[in-house]
Amino acid sequence: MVVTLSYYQFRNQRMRIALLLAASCYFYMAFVPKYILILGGTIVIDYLAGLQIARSTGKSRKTWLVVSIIANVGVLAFFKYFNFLLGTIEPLIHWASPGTEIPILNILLPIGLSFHTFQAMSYTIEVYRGKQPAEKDFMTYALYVMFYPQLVAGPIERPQNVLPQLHRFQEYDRNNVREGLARMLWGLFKKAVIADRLAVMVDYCYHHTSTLSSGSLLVGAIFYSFQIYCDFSGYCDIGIGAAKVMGIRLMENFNEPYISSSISQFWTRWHISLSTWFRDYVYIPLGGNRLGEKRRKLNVMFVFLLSGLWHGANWTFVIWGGLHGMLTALLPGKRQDQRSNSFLRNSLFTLVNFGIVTLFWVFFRSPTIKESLHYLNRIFSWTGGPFYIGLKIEEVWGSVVLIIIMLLRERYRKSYFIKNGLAYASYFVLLVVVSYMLGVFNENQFIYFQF
Amino acid sequence: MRKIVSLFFIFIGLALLVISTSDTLMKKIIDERSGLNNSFGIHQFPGADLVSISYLDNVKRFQERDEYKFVKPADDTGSRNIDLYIYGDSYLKEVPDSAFNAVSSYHFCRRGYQDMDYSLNPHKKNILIIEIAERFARVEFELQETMRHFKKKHPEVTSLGLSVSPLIYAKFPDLDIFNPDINRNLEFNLYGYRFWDQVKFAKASLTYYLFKRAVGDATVSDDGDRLFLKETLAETGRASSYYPFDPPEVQKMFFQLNATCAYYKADGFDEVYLSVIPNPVTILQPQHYNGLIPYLQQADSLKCMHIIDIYSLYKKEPGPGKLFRIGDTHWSNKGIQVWLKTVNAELKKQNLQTDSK
Repeated sequence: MVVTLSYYQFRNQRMRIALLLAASCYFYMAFVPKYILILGGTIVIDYLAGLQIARSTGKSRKTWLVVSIIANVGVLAFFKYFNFLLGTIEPLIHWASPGTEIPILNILLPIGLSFHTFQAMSYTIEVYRGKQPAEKDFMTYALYVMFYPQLVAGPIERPQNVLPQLHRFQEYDRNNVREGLARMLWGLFKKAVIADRLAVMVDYCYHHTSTLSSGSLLVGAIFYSFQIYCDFSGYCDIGIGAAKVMGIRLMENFNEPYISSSISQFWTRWHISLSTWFRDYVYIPLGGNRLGEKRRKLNVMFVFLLSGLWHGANWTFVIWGGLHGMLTALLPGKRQDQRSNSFLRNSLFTLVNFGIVTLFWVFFRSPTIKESLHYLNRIFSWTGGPFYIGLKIEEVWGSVVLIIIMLLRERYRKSYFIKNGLAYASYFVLLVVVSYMLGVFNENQFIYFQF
Repeated sequence: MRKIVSLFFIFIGLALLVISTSDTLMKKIIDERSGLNNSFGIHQFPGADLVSISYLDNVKRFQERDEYKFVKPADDTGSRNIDLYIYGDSYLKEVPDSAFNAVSSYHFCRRGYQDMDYSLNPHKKNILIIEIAERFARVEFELQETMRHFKKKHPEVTSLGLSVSPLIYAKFPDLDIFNPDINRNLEFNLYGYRFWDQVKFAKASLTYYLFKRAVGDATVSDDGDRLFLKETLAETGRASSYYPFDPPEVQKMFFQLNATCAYYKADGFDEVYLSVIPNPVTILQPQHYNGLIPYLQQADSLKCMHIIDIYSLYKKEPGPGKLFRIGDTHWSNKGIQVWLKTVNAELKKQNLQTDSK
């Protein structure tokens, strides 16, 4: 509130940039203050690299791009994948040299690292490709990477979308404020009322896998699909809404992913900013579908494995990515405009696809492969027993109702702008009251904060 | 006009941020507001801290009054050779010196709240009891750095106040403006007023009657008859009775406790006792208990420390439900009497040994 009100008090765009940058730094440092130095370091490198790429010609351009990518990937690799790599080769080291101590790094992962490094890389790549002029103003560039509404969990923005908006002086627009606030409230509702309630039941299922019935575990898995959606898209709604209040439009990150009728369609609707990032900066440069069917499949597989690894330094994520990649590569995907006209057929495909996505989420949610296989094994062993997933049955049904409300609202009312003052006030009050009265406030972090 | 309103809110917002960032200001505000009996006071439900934190004031079933009754031990008639020091927590904060047997002087230091500079009387038997609630034990006993630091310094007049927090923060000298409790402080400064209570009661009652759940940091027991502190039965977190521990962690604690004991004995204490008070969940809902206390109390691992084994006594109690208050994190009068009886028997034994010398 303080930042937004102050933002509109300043009549000078540079002052606004400085304010937003200071707020972003404070927001980032609230987690682990010293990590600002790492982020600051990569920002300086990328900023200079961008300028050099724009100025240089020939080989030198590529060199600066490589410097930028190495800096970003290096930081990511060190903080996120160093222990994973050591853990993976540990048996080999012990075999070669028994008794050797493996130096495990006892460090916290800088928050939102995967997001802001990807966002930074998209800048230098776009400058290299000549699709984006290098940003001359350091503060504006730093804000592009650090803009607090989307700093820690996306959407992973593109410079073409955000940088021009940061240069433009945004006059106070009541409609922007109303729409932004409405969207933030919707995000809060999804996070506090749906995701965190489902989290209680999902956590219970994953902690009592050996004792629960198959039915309970299946419901737990299905609930996780909605938990992660409401958690992640709820965060994005809050971030996009907060930016909208200041007149800045961020890209959409979700588009009803669970109505997809194939895995490839799912990835055009889920975490759109990441899937388009991989498409534009990895899949297409690798040849995309231009080098024949075999190569296309290989490219798809590689991108999905990389995407899995992007999510976390754990083989569970790699397998999760690999499974998505396998189905995307092998099954004929249908774009939205190619969907069949048969409602029944579409519904059946949607249902089957949702089931597959749900089962794949088990790998994403489990801490180890062994536990994910155990969970899946328990589901498919058809073990009977009473249905219990940690909360009273009334609350389980209540959660189902809330999920249906959420799905219907997102299906039939996509806009967050409500013109009528009374309707807006009612919506506002209703969401505040419902979010407070039905919200589960367990101080649960957003799931994607860990990435 | 709009500008003035805007500036007013900016000022209020910044003021709130500054206040919530400063531990000193927060302490002053909490102290000040604790004494207020109006709408700006702090909500408290007397004698039932879990009812209080979960705002279940409108639900009568958890509101049992159970006052502690302390009497002079009947066999406290002989000599008084013991100076008793207890470094403990809220479980013992109300116990008067008259409740102990054979004690010449009694000194209580509350963990995390105060420090104590002690000066031992060499003509008395100096006994130290380190009492701790189970939910704090894993964090408290794992701070190997702290104990090493204490051993090295070994000041002439030692401080019994093992308040560890400053040492932890000394190790991570993060800037003060990034207060780790900022969210909690902001919540307190924005919504921690009694004039919000009716709204909070409504949410708590709605959640309880609709879903049989408690809100906030409390949770309803499996049988629905009492409240537990949520963190003591969480799946993760070292305050939890259910969160598994691994042998290296406990080995570290053994090392720590033995070092603590050796340190205080070197400092002049004749005997050092350890007493871990079980979480209510440990006794009343033990299906997933991690077994920390029995593991910790292994005689062969804790070499110089005596144990006041309240856990085993509680396990043998025919009606364990009566050992703890039903809407509170603490033990009941019956629970504390079991502890006092055990401690007094031990004190009597030590007193007799001194007499016979």
